[in-house]
Amino acid sequence: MQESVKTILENFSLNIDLVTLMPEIIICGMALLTMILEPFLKGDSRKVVMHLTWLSIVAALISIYSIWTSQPNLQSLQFADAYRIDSYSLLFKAVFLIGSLLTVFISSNFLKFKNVPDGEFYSLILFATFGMMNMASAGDLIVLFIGLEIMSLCLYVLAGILRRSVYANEASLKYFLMGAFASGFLMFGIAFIYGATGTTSIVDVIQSSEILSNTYLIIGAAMVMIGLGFKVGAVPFHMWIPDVYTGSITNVTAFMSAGPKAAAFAAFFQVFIVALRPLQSEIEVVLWILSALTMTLGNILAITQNDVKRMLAYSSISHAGYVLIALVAFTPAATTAGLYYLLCYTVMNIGAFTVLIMVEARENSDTNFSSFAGMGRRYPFLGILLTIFMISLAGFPPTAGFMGKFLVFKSAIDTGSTSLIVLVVLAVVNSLVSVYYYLRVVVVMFMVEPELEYRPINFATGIIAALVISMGGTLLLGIYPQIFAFFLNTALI
Amino acid sequence: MESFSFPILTLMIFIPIIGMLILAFLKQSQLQAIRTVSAVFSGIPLVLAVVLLANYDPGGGFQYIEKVSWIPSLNIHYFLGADGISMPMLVLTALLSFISIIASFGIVHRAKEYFIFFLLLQVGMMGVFAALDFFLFYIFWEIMLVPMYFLIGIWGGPRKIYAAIKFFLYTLFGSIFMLVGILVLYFFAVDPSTGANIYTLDLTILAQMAQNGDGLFLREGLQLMVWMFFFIAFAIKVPVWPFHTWLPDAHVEAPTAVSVILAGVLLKMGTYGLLRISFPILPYGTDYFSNFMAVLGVIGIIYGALVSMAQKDLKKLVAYSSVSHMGYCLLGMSVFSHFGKEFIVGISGCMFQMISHGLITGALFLLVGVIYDRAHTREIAAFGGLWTKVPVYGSLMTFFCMASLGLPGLSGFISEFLIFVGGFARYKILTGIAVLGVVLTAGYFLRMIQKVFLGQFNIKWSDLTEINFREIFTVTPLAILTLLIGIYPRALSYMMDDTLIDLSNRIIDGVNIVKGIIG
Amino acid sequence: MLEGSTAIAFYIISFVMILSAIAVVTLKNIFHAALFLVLTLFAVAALYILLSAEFLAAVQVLIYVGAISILMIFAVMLTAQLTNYNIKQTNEQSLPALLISVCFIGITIFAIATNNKLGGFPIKENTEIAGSNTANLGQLLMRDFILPFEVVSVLLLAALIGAIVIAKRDN
Repeated sequence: MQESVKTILENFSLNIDLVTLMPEIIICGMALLTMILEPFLKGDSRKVVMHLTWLSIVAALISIYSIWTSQPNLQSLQFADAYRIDSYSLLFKAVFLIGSLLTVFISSNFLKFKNVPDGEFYSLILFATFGMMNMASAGDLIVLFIGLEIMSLCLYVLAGILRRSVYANEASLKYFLMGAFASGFLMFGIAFIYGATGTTSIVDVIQSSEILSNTYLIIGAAMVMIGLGFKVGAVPFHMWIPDVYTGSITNVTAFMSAGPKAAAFAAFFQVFIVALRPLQSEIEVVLWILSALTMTLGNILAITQNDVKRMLAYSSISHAGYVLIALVAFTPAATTAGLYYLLCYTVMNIGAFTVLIMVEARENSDTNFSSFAGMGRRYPFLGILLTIFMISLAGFPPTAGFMGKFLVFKSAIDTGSTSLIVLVVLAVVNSLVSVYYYLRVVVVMFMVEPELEYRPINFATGIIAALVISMGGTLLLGIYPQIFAFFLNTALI
Repeated sequence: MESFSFPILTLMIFIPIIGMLILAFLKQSQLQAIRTVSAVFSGIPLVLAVVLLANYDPGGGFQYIEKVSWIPSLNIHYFLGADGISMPMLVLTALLSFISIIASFGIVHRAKEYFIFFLLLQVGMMGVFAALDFFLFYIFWEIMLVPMYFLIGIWGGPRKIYAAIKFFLYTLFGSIFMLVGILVLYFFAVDPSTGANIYTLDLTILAQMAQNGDGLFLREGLQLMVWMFFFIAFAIKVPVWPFHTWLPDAHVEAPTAVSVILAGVLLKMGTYGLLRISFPILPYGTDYFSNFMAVLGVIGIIYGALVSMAQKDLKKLVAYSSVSHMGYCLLGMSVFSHFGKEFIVGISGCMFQMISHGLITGALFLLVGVIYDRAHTREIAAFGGLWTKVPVYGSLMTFFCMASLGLPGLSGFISEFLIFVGGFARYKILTGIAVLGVVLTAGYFLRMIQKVFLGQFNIKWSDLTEINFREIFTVTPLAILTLLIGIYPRALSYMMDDTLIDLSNRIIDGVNIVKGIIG
Repeated sequence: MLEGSTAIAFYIISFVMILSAIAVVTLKNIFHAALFLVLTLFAVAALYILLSAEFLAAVQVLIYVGAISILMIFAVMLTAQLTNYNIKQTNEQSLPALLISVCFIGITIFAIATNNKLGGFPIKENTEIAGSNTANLGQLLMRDFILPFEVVSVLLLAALIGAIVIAKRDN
C-alpha cells in the first residue's frame, strides 16, 4: 500500500501552489468560519460576522493584488490541469469580490430593516463567491459545473431569504426550477462534449478536424450554450430574470446582477473562446442572434416598467446583450473589453441598487417610480449619485458605462466584419432607447413633486461605504481608465 | 505640439467646477452667496478668455496647446488648443455664460442646483470648443447635455419635461451616430505615406493625413458614410431643417438664460463641429455634399422665416428666426473654397454669422425674458404701444431686431453680406432665394415691433416697469460687440482669416488628391 | 453493437425503464408515481451493470433508490394533503412542452444516427490503469479529479446551509 501511494505520487504531481490559491482559501475558509461562529454569537456581537465577511473579501482582494504584482505573467495549471490560474481569471475574481464586497456593505442595515436573520446570509454570499471563483478558474468542465452549482444553490436560497414574502418564495422556486433545468442542459452538454472528445478539459483545445465535424460536439456546444445562456439571462432564456430580480430582497438582487452574471460570462468565455475555439464560425452566428435578441428585447420590455427594480432587471438583460458582442467578436481584445464591461456594470449597477435600497428602507416604501418623487430635492447628493449611475448605465460619457461600451464596440469594429458592425449599430440604437427609461428615474427624482408626505432616508455607514466605492469606480473607470491599464492589457488566450 | 506651458485652457474650462463644489456646500437660502459665487466662477473664465484673446497670434496655428497622454492603450490624449475658429467661440461662450448667470439672478426656486448645473454646462461648452482630440470632444459634447436637460426639465415652462426629453433624445440620437463615426475613423483611417493604420483620434493629425492623401486616408465610400454620420450629429445641433423640431420646444420651455445659451452657444456647436471636424478631416465628403448642404441651408432660411411670420409668441418667433439664421451659416460654409484657396468669403461669412447670431439672438432672448418676467405673457397680440411706457426697453429691442434683420452698420449685415457674396459666386439661384429670407426676416421683425411697441397703448400694461439696471447690464456688452463688429469687422476677421485660409488649403488639397485618384 | 443475451437484456430493461418513467409523469396518485420512480431508477442501475459499471450501479441503488426515493416517499406520506389526492400532472402548456421534447429527442437521435457513420463515440478505452473498475474510479477521483471531488463537499455544505435557512423556524 505504502509502495503504491509512493509510486503514484512520484509519477504524478498535483502541482499545487498555495500562494496563488490564497483568494479561494480565504473566502472558503471564512465561509466555514462564519457558519460555525454564527450560532455562538448573540445580540450586538453578531455584527462580527458581517465585519469578518467584508474583511475577508478585502483580504482576498489584497492577495489577488499581491499575486498580480509578484507574478505578472502568471500561467499556472494546478490540480492535474483542473484549475487554471492566470491573470485573466484573477481579474475576473477581483470583479466578483468587488461585487460581493459591495453587497455585504449594503446588506447589514437592510437585513435588519426587513427582519431577515443575517447569520447564514454572509456565509451564503461567501460560498457563492467561492463558486464563482471556481468558475473563473476552471480548467475542467467538471470544475466549472461544480462551481456553477455552488453559486446557484446559494443564490436559490438567497433569493428566497425573505421567507414571509410570497414574491420571494415565488422568486426562489422559479429560480430553482429554471436553474436546475439549465444546469441539466449544461451537464448534458458537457457529457456530449466528453463523448465527442474523450476529455472534459478546457485547457486541451480541441484540434482534430475529425472531432470537429462530430455532431456530438455541436450538440454539446449548443446545450452548454443554453445552460450558460440561462445563467447570463440571454433572450430567449431570460424568462426567470424579471420575476426573480423583483421578488428577491433588493440587496440580493444587486448581488445577483453583478457577480453571478460576470461568473456566467467567465464560463462563457472559457468554454467558447478557449475550449471550443475551432468551432468559432458556427458559434459566432448563434451568439450574434442571441446578442441582438437579448439587448433589443431587454430594452423594449424595460421601457414599459413602472417599478424601478423591475426596470433594472430588464436592463440587466440588455446589458448581457452588450457583453455578448464581445463574445461574438472572438478576439483577445474583445475578452478584455468584456471583462472591463462587467467590472463597470458591477460597480454602477450595485451603486444604483444601493440607492434603491435606501429608498426602499423607509416606512411603507416600495420601488415604484413614485417612491423616487422629490428625492432629488430632498437629498440632492443622493439624487445626483443616482443620476450618475443612471447615465452610466445608459452609457453616457464620462462614466464607466460609456468606457465599457466604447471598449466593447471598439473591439467589435476592430474585427472589420460587416455583421459585427451591424451588431454594433444595433447596440448603439439600443443604448439610445435605454436612455429613455433610465432618464425616467431622473425625471421623477428631480422634476416630480412627491405625492404624499416625504419619508426621510436613513444613511448607514455600510451604505455610505458602498456608495463611495461604487461612485468612485463609476467615475474613475470612465474618466481615467489608464489606472486600470492592467485590466486593459490582460486578455484571455 | 512640443510646448506645455501654463495650462490656461484647462484652468478656463474647469474653474467653474470649483464654483460647483463651493455651491454644493452653501444653503439653499443663502441666495446672495450663491449668486456671487456663481458669477465669480463664471467670470474668471471670461477674464481668462479675454487674456487669451489678447495674446492670440492670428498666424500661429493652434495655440495654448496642452497635450497629455490620457488613455495610452487607445492612443487617446487630453489635447486642448485654440485657433482662429475656436478662439472667438471660446470668448463668445465665456461671455454669454457670464451674462446668462447674471441674468439668472431672478431664479429663486432651487437656485443652488440651478447654478450648479449652469456652471457644469459652462464646463462642457468650453471643453467642446477647446478639445482637439475627438474622444475628448465627444465627452465634452455629451457632458453638456446632462445639465441642459435638467435646466430645461426643472426650471422650464409648462411642458418642460416633454421639451427636455425631446431635446435630450434628439441630440443623443445625433451623437450616437457621431460615436459610430468616431470608431470607424479610428479603425479605418490609414496613414497615406505608410499605408498603415494610425489609430488616432487626434484632430490635428487626422486633418494632416487628409490633406496629404485623402484618397488613401479613408476609402471613398466610407468617407461619405462617415461624413453623413457626423453631419447628422451636427445638423441636429444646428439645427438644420428637417432636424429642427426640437428647437422651438426647447426654446419656448427653457428659462430665459438657458435659451440664451441654447441659441448663443449650443447651436454654434453644430456649425463649429462641421468646420472643425467634417471640413478638414473629410474634405472629399464635404465637397461631395456641398450642394446638399446649400440646399438644406436655403430651405432652413426660408422655412424658418416663414414659420416665424406665423408665430404669435415672442419667444417662438425668436426661436424660429434662429432656424432661419443658422441656415445662412450652412449656405455660407457650403461654398467653402470652391474658387481657390484665397476664396474664404463664404466660410468667413459663416463664422461672422455664428458670432453675430450668438450676440444678437442671445440679447433678443434676454429681452423677451425681461418682458415675460413683468407681463407673464409673451403673446405678441397682448401688447401694443409699449414704447411710451418703456422707451429704453423698446429701443434696445428695436436695436437688436434691426441687427438681426441685417441693418448695415450692425454685425448681422456683415455676416449676411459675406454669405451672399460667397454664395452668389457659386449658387446663383439658391442665393437669390436666400436673399428673399432677408425680406421675410425684416417682415416679421418689423411686424413684431409694430404690434408690441407702436400703435394703441394697451391700458392693461399701465403698471409695466422699465428695464432695470441689471438687465441693461446684461445686454449692453452684446450691444457694444454687435455695433463694433458691424462697424469694424476686422476686429473679428483678423483672428480668423489665417486659420480659414489654412482650412481652405486643406480642403482643396484633400479634394484634389481624391479626385486625382478616382480619375 | 449489442449481441445475443445482452441485447435481449438491454431491450427488456429499457422497455421497463421507459414505461415506468412515463408512469411517473402521468399517474394521478403521487404515491404511485413515487413508486414507479423507484422502478425507473432500478432500471438505470441495471443498465449500468450491463455496461460493466458495477460500482456505479451499486452507488445508484444506494443513493437514488435507497436514499432519495425513500426520502421522497416519506415526504409524500408526511404531507397529509398529498397522499390520497388525485393530482393532474399536466397543465395547458403540455402540448408545447411535448413538441419541444419531441424536437429535442429528434435532434439527439439524429446526432447519434449520423455519428454512427463516423464510428460512434471516439472515446478510447482507457487501458493504462489495470485492475477493477472501482479501483480505477478511486484512482481517478483522487488524482485527476481530486479538485472537483473535494469541492463537491463545499457544494454539499452550501446545500445544507440552504436547507436550514429555508426550513428553520422563525424566532
